[in-house]
Amino acid sequence: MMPRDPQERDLIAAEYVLGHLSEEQADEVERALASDADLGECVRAWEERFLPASLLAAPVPPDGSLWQRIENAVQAASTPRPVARARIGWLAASWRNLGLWRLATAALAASLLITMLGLPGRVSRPAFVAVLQARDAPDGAGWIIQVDEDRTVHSTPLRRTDIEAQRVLQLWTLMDPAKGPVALGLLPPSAAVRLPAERLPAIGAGQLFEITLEPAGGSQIGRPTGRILYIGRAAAVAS
Amino acid sequence: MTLQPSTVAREGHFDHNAALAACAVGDAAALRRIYEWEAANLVGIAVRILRRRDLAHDVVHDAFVQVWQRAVTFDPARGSGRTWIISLVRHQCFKALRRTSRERALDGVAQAALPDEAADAFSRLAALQEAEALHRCLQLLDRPKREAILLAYVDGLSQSQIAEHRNVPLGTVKAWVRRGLLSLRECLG
Repeated sequence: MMPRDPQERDLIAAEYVLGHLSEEQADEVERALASDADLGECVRAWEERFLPASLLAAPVPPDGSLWQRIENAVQAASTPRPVARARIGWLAASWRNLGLWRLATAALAASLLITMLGLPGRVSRPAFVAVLQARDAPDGAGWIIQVDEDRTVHSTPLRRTDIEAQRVLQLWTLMDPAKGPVALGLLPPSAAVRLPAERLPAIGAGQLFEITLEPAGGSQIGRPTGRILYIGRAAAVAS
Repeated sequence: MTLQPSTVAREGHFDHNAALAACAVGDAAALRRIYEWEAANLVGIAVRILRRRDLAHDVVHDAFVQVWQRAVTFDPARGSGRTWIISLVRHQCFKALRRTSRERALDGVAQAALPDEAADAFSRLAALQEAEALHRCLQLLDRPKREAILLAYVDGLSQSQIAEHRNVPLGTVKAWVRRGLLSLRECLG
């Protein structure tokens, strides 16, 4: 049970970094980190404080085979499974062929389609869906953003986006126009990804999502600096 | 091509944040650059904690796969890329220790080496420019607290292993670590 006193929580964060928590306690901290930004800050601060001591371990040259093992594992993880690729293709084709994009309740249409197809890897149903349209194409549904009940964000591209070198795609949401867009994360141009729930402060019907083109590493100033490629609004999924 | 990460002091500078951003968009060459720069350090950190080369390699392998899969979640506004990567390795080490039953006793040779390692670690920190603040703040602690914390962070010893090694009750080690951490936080900010 995590203590409520801030100093005690900070000490738990330190012990987590030292590796002194039991497995159950460490699991509890990891679950809490998904939604507790303050705890995340405490953990990061202790990691930075202790970091110079990591220089004390003498370097050990790895076996020559280590890189090959990593490369094999990473390629296996990166190759979209044929099923996943086919489904994204079918989703995009269905979107255009069925003329669903014409429907006024486009987000509802998308959520119906997604529920019917069952995007791979999904266990829970989305609570909100935003269909992001390309700025420069009429039927340009380019991206689907789904938000689960626990605010995990699932991002699925419907089409390929060619981006220049040294540029990345960054996802933003706008909850309060006075405060401006909030960065949610960088998106690979052609793979579905899941962003942790802690990234999304709030979700509501009509909430704006946009994907902008930013320099490598994302915008450094906390606001979009590049042009908007895709934009759309969230709709609640009928349950 | 066999990569031979350097084991001597490195020239130049490596931008971990930029490499992670490139990994986030699927640039596998960026992961390889991180490997070239850091692999020997990371295997070294894992060997120091796990005291087994084979396990250390498995842990660094798993950590690099995590770097690749999670790079898209790394936020440079919240901390340095190097720290993020090292933290992934350390937590993989803790998982490995739990899997292989961390409460196993250290063997006699390893036990004997520990006090020297802790004192040694502290004096070597003095020579590292990047460690100036940490060294200064550890110096404010008495030796038992300072060494308990270094044995924990650098050698990955649990509190009960430290207690056994120092021949003091577990509660004493808990108090050392707690007071040491409070003092460090006040000193380091």
